[in-house]
Amino acid sequence: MPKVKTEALRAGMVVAAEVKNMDNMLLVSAGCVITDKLIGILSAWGISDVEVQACDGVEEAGDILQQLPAETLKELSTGLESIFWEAIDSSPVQKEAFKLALRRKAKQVLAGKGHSHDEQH
Amino acid sequence: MTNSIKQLTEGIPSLGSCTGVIAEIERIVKDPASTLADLGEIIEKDPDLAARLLRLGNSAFYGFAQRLETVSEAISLIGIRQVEDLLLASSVIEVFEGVPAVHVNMESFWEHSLACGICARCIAIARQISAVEKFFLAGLIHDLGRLVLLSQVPKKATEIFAVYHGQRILLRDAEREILGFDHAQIGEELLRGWHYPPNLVQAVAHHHRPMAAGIFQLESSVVHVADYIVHVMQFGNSGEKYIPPLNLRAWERVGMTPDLVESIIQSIDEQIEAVHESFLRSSHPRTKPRA
Repeated sequence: MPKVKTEALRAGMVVAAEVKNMDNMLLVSAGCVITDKLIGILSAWGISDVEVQACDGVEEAGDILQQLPAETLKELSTGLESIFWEAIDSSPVQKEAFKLALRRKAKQVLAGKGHSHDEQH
Repeated sequence: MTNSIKQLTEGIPSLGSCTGVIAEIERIVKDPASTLADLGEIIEKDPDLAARLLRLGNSAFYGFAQRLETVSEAISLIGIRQVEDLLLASSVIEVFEGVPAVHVNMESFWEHSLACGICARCIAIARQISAVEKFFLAGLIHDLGRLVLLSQVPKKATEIFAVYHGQRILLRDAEREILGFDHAQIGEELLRGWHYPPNLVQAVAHHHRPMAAGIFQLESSVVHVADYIVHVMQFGNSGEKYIPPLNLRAWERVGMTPDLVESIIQSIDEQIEAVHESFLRSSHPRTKPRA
């Protein structure tokens, strides 16, 4: 059975083999249907991948950044960059962190939560 | 007048009501004739505390396959030491309830702190480091020194924020400019006074300079990286408007990868609501659902 990374799991997939945590405690039984809640639980326990019965039809969500109008994306990007103390290109880690944060902000905007949590001052 | 770190922390009361429960637990644990049910009874004496422990035990924070019905079950699955750390976390929050939200939004401060605790705990789980609740506690309390500052020397706090808003400067540097020391040092003194274990004291003291933490580099690095991640992802705010510098050696020491960061962010989103409800009760109602 194919193994799927936890972050690539989608609701509706079926677990092929039981999943246990590091203390050997059963988290999910074989045959269980994956739900969003379950994905969160697996992530919380640091489970990196899960055997599933079928992984056909897994569609990678298109790049969320492309779903935003260019102007909104630029505004989000500039706003985010301005609060980084160190330059974004100072290290690959910083670059990756910036990308993740931008995607998170894009999700919030697309979910209708606007530019929430931007500034406290 | 210049305040010393010790003077600042002297005004902070001792830990809250949960410490009485913790002392009781310690007594029971040392008694060879005691049972798990005896321990459950101690916590159940405080129905609010018992309800919060069960709520947390039944949430995504633990993700147990079966539902916990009693405090004894919760203790048996979570572990006595871990429960003690959770009670200690609850006590700390109790001490600082009511700090005026003049310069820092307190709801946002606690959201940042709780997210940092969850993040540090997730890193510990992913890296299979033992005693994960210790990391939750360390993340939760890493910025306590700032609350000491806000509550004990409000005039100095106003001076600090005037400097901070007047130029491009990190808040901790503004603290040093006005006081000669920063919130991490205040936190260190406070926790020493509360007789916290050295690994927690050092994790808080060195959360900005984890490589200076000597034998507690790992603990400090986990808190440093967790603090960076929650700043980048803007889970709440501790008063600092900038995303502080990342120590890459700490990042490597902890063994972080982009995949792990993504899964941890997802875990924080999943757990923050339940953790907020279990630890903050109604004092800082959570009004902003996360994406």
